[in-house]
Amino acid sequence: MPEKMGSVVNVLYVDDEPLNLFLFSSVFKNIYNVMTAESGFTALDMIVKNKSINVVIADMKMPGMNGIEFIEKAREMIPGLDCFIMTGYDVTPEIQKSIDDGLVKRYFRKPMDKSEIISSIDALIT
Amino acid sequence: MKQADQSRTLPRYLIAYEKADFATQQKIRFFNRLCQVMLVLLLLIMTYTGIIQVSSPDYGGLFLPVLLTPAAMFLIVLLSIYLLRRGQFIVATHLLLLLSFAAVWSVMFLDRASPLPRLDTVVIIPAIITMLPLIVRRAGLSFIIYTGINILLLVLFLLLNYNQLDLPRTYLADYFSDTTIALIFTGIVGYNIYIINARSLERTVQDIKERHEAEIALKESEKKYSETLDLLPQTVFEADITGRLLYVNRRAFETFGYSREDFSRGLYMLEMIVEDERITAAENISKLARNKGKTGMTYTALRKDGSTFPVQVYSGAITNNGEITGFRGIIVDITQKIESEKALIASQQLFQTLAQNSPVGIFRTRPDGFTTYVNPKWTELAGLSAEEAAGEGWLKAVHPDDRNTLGAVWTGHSARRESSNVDYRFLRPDGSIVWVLGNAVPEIVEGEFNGYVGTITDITEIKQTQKELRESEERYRTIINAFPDIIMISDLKGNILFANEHLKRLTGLAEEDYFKTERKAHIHPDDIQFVTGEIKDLLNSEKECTGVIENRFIDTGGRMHWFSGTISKIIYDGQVALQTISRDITERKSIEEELDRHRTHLEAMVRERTEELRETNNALIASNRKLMEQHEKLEKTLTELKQAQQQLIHSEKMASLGILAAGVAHEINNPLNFIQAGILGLETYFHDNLESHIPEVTPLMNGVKEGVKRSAQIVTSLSRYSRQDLLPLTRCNIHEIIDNCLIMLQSETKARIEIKKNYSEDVTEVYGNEGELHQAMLNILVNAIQAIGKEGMITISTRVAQGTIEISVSDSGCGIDEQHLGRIFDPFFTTKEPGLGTGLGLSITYNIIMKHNGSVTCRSKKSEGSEFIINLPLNA
Repeated sequence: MPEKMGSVVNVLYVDDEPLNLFLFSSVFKNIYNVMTAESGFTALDMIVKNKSINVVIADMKMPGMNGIEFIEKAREMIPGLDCFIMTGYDVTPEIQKSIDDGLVKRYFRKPMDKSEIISSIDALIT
Repeated sequence: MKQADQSRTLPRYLIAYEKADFATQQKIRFFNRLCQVMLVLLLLIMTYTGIIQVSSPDYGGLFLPVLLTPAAMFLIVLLSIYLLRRGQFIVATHLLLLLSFAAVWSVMFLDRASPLPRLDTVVIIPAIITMLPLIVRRAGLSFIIYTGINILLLVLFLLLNYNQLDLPRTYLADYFSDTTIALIFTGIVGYNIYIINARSLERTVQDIKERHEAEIALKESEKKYSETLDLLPQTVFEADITGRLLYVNRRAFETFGYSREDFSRGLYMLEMIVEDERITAAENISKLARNKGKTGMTYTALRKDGSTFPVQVYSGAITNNGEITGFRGIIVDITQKIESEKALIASQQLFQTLAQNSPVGIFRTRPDGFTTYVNPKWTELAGLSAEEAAGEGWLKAVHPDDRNTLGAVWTGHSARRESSNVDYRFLRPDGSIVWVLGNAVPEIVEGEFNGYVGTITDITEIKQTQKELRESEERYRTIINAFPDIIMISDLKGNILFANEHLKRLTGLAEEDYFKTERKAHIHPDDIQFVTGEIKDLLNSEKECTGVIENRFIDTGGRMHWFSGTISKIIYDGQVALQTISRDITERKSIEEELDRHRTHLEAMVRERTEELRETNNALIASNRKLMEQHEKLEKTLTELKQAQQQLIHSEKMASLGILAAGVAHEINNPLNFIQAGILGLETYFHDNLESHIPEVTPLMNGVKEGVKRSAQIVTSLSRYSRQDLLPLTRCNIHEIIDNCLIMLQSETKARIEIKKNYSEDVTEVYGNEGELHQAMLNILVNAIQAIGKEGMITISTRVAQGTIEISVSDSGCGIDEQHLGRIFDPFFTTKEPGLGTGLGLSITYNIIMKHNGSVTCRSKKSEGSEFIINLPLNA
């Protein structure tokens, strides 16, 4: 498990597509400590159990609870949690608003850009 | 010339012998000299004798008898000279001869000395006789006479002096015979010399005369020949072997315009024809020299003044002992010949054309009716070819019913050699009938009847017209008799020329009344003035008929009728006549009077009602106009509504499409994410476990990554395009927008259209609705792509100036018709086939650019391409 600036980065990735979850952890498993959840609900559950999660990346469009709704709840649990949205859509007014409000750090577009994600996360930690 | 010299050698005083022959003249000259010499000698003798007589003691002074003899002789010689000069040559010569003989014999007989020494004096006699041929003209008889006389005198002398001589007889006989022989011989010789001279002279003179005559004859012949040649109307020439002209006749000078001086300076045959033909002519001349050339060649002759005319040259070589020494020939001016040939051809052509194009048929026959010529019109009318018509074939064309008649006419006229003029029919092979008028004129040449020439005129139409006319007349007659009214034609004096039966029925006038001046039936006296006035007006005007005339008429029974009718001016039998058509309206007239009373009342009523109606009508018209205006407004509104509705439907459609596109984009992005993440995972895997494979796998990985990247770009463009109007205005990079649009249109442009970008390097951001700007650009680009039929180029240029960005999109496509250029931004205007374009694209673009405070214009030229220019304010 590599360490950045002496601390382990725990990344929780939330997406309703299991394939996306598998692929994401495959790509980043050597870089971060990756955890995945199939829905906002599961993810909230995991946050409750593991307060060491540093970074959350969530899909926007998910059944039951969308990415923004989940992030709002998660930040209630861990204020200051760094959250990202990863979406296949272009930016929507809702995303724009959450970025403007400071709820979401920024959004990533699908298909994902590995270096973009790494540099964004690294920027948080330094 | 010789004659002239001779005459000059004769002294002037001998002019009388100028005409004498040469020998005579020589003799005369000799004789003249002789006489002169004798005069001198006699003077010397007389002087000498005188001196001797004076000085000699024998004489003792002058002894005149001795001196008298020479003096007499001197005078006789003078007389001879005189006679000679007077032309009495013969007399003079004989006088002198006689004197000479007399002198000799006087010395012989009279000398006082002894006779013996005188015997030898006789030798002078033969000497004198030898002179005879020199001086006498006709010697024959003179020789005999003079020889004979002298012999007699000699005999006489010997007899007289026989005793004194005292010589032996034999000696004297010998002397006598010798002397006589000498005399006779001398005489014979002199005579013969004379004869020989005279004959040879005669012969020479004859020869000379003959030669002279021959020369004269030759000269005359030459003169005749030359004059004849000069009279010839053609040019005659002779040239030496070099072609230099040695002789030409007078005509040549006239024809070619050269002077005799030019000729003397030297002219050549070839100079007489134009330069172009000289080579041909020279070749022909050289062939002529070998007796191979053609004669009668045609050339273009050249005059001294440069004018030309056509000639024919007949020439041949002049040979002398088999060697060619020159050429001679005749040049014939064939200008007139050519012209008359042309005229003949023209005349032939004229007649040919006349015959070929004549609007009437033309034929020619022999006296027996055998056809020798028909022109094309004839064959057209008869339906037979010229070959078929030849001989007696033409009869086939004649209608069988007319053949006998025509044959009879023909036989009759040709027997009397008369012209004929017959109507008959042709029955053509196709069954159609042509009526023709045949005119035939006997062809009599120099009193001999050669046959007929004639024409055939198509009179089918005339026949038809005649038939129609007959039928028309028949119809007219029927109509006139069936007509219920009076039809009457009268002359200007009032005589009735023609009337139908109704005249009699209505007026009682019968045909026997037509030419009467006073008739029982007549126009009512009160109306006569009015009716005649109308007739006068008609005759004096250009009108053909009067208006309706109504007048009263009294019939033969004295009853009054009302007639209504018109009178027309017509030509009847070549005269102006009046045609009256009249109807009995007596009954109607009474009804009319009754009606008249009601009419006045009715008219008033009608006027009243009409006024009412007019007012109502005006009101109606006004309200109708208002209705029309409302109707037009409604129609316009309806049209606008329809357009708005269509635009709305389109916008709605586009919006739905946008939502759909956005949804699809998201759905595609997810699978793209699988691929992207998968490849990243694989990369990590290879890095950790199969590092040695990385070089081989990387290009494949890159391929997959590139695919993902491009797909993602397309999806992004689509989603940008479909961004909704509701979105707030954002900063939009024009270059990005154009690039996005191009990505979306890649499938349309790929491998077909070259896209050239001239982007400005300045910041090209405008403040606006990204989705709408996408739509605006996309429409412009789609138009450009569609304008390009097969292959072409689209140039996109941007330029920033004075706070605006100018975007130019030009294509190398088909362009826009000038007539359409003003309407391309109108909604629903399209030149595409129905279903292929809504006609909204450019209209939407226009509206979007307007909303962004910009402008859009278009420049285009048919078949050269179009350029759209969009101006947008930067950051406005």
